[in-house]
Amino acid sequence: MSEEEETTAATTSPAEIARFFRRYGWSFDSIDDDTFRTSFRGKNAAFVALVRVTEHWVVFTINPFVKAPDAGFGAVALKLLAVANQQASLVKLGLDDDGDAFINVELPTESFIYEHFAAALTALTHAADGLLVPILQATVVDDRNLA
Amino acid sequence: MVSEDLPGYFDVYGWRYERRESRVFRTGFVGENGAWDIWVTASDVLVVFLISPYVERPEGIAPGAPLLRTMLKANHELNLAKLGLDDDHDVCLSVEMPADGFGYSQFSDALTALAHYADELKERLDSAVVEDAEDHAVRQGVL
Repeated sequence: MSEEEETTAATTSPAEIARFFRRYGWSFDSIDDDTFRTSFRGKNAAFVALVRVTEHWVVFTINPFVKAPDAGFGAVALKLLAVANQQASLVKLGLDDDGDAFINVELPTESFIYEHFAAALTALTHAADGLLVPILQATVVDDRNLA
Repeated sequence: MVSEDLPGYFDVYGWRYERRESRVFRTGFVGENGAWDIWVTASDVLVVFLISPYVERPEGIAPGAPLLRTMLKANHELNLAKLGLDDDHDVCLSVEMPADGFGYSQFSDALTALAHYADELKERLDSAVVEDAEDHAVRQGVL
């Protein structure tokens, strides 16, 4: 690895992300200079996803993915989210500052290419659609356990 | 093929490694809060950097709400890396990158993130494990 190779790696830009959206065939809105909003309908629900370009990362997010119940997520739902992190490739699930569940994919802006964009959106949509019902079911089980 | 490039990346990064299978490598590091093995696996689709198990848990006590909540909240803070539960319900810390376009820059980002967070999160997760054990003891009527 030459020093020149390390220092000349291209970083992506919001303009390039807009081109990737068009190539992927999805419509989008620009929320601000660095953030795009898109949406899709899965088998069970419709989702809104944000794609944000920062200095170091391109972040694809669905947040909230599932709003937290009033008492917060219980052990069954928490375990499902934690296990899904290891089973779902590229995506990360977690709890935000409000306790709501989110899904995201983060990749470096450096050397970010269309294949990364496509892989990230595919992973995000697949995980969101596949995990929504199990998580909602888990929250029902948690409710019953608390009753 | 990424697996053929990985030895060169390890050399540039300056970490020793062991090639365990054609596409599986083991490396490790000693941080301020512990020592960990890192497994690097390159498939045609993904390059995965994994520490598993990352946090030791008392035998016979499944991860409870305190540990799970701590892990999932931490995931909101981490860049690139994530905490999860593997098939044995051990806590693992990983970074996954697409194999397409994978180069030294991604390799370096992944190893740096994994090593940084492994050290940074250890105490917080250890405390959550203790809380889990206390909850378990209360439920068992021990405390």
